Amino acid sequence: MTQAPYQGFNVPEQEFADNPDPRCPCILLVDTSSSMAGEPIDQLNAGLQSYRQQITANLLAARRVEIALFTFGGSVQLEQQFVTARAFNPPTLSTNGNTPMSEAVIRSIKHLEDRKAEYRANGIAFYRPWIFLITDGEPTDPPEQWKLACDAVRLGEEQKKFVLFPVGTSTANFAKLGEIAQSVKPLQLKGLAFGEFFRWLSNSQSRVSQSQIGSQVQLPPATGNDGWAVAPT
Amino acid sequence: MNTWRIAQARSLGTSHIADNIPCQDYHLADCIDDGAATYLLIAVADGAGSAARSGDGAKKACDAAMLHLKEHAAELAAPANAREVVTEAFSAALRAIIEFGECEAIEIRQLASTLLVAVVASDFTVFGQVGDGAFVCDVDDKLNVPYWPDQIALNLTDFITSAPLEQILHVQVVPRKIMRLACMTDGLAPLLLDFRTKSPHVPIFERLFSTCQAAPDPSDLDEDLEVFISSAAVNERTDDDKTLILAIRQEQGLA
Repeated sequence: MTQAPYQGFNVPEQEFADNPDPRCPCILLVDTSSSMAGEPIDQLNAGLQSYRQQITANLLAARRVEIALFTFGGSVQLEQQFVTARAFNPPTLSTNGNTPMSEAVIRSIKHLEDRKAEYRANGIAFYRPWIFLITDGEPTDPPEQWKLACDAVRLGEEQKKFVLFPVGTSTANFAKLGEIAQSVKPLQLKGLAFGEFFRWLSNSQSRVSQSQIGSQVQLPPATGNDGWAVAPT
Repeated sequence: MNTWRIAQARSLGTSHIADNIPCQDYHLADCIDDGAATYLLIAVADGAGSAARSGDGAKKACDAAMLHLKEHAAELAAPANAREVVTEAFSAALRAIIEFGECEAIEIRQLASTLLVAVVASDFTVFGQVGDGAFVCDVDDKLNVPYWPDQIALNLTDFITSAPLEQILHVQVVPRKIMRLACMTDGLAPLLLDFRTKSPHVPIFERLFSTCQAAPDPSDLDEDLEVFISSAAVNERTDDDKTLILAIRQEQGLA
């Protein structure tokens, strides 16, 4: 039997170990009520598409960041259950009806807990999850439902289960968003700068996905000349 | 004759290239012969990514540990004594880092580094380890990881500077003749180890060891190994600094 001539260390792809990456879960809760019709939803859709391109350009983030997308317009829809960023193919969102924001928050927390149970069952480490709540208005579901949502967020943040980032356009009710905000104060989008917002999100997730789990990561500034946000007016 | 064929290399992580950070890994592997016996000595260190001068810390730690092992070569014949020498090598490494920090006015935490040390004798091996990274060795023809740091999958680790050594140092004696041994920093762990079963990924180690043994000229091995751990296939799977040592016992002239 002749052996292949020595050619240095060549390892076929299938001989590498294939370990699960630690995951960096993020839920997008997006207002698609009828007031978002026209320019706002168009900008949001364009922002989602550019987000996908940016996050998948970072190979590590593409494997580690996981995204789920809920919409609340007329009803709460799970548009995309958790997938890694490289498999995220954002749908084109359309607008409809009122703003069941409270239900969206409560359902998203449940979806997150289910995903974390899957991580644990498969020995996958994960970073602190992020929930982004994006709206141009205020919740239209019953006040007691809103209180439940606020309580669930407060409890979840106290137990370090996730961090909620409330984001509103200029027409959003920032007093309401202030009620649900815990560690992160609500921020107002500059105009309809969804593109800038998603670029910031992609950069932030890229930083986190390369960091040590449990460590503090300095996120890029959201406000300022190059940022996407201003303090609510 | 009883000696070792060794391949050793390190390679800068792609994230370090992007952030303009130097390689913070360091490694030494050497065979010594005290007349009565031959020993393979290994020291590998991975400087903390968040510490500015940790590459210097890693080098100081390896140099001091290796020097300590060589100075005490005469005490390595019995496993219990060798275990003591390995433990002291970690103290020597920590002292060297502290002295360097004082001399150069560098905060100790800026020199933070992991450290892995092995003394391989003819019929036993002593492994010492602080932090992540891993050894792989064959015991009774089966490849295993003698000490599994649970931090390895989480990108969290201890450093020799971060707590009293008795709290973070793991020393272990394997009372067997080891024929093959590997040592890596955590940058290569996701490619070479199976995190679910906490064991070596056997196919890649069989490939690496057989390649190491097949090289017609062992003096090419270091360079060839560096080419491999700098390759696109590896960098797709890790962006950290990478160090790998492969060692195979050579037993010619046994007859």
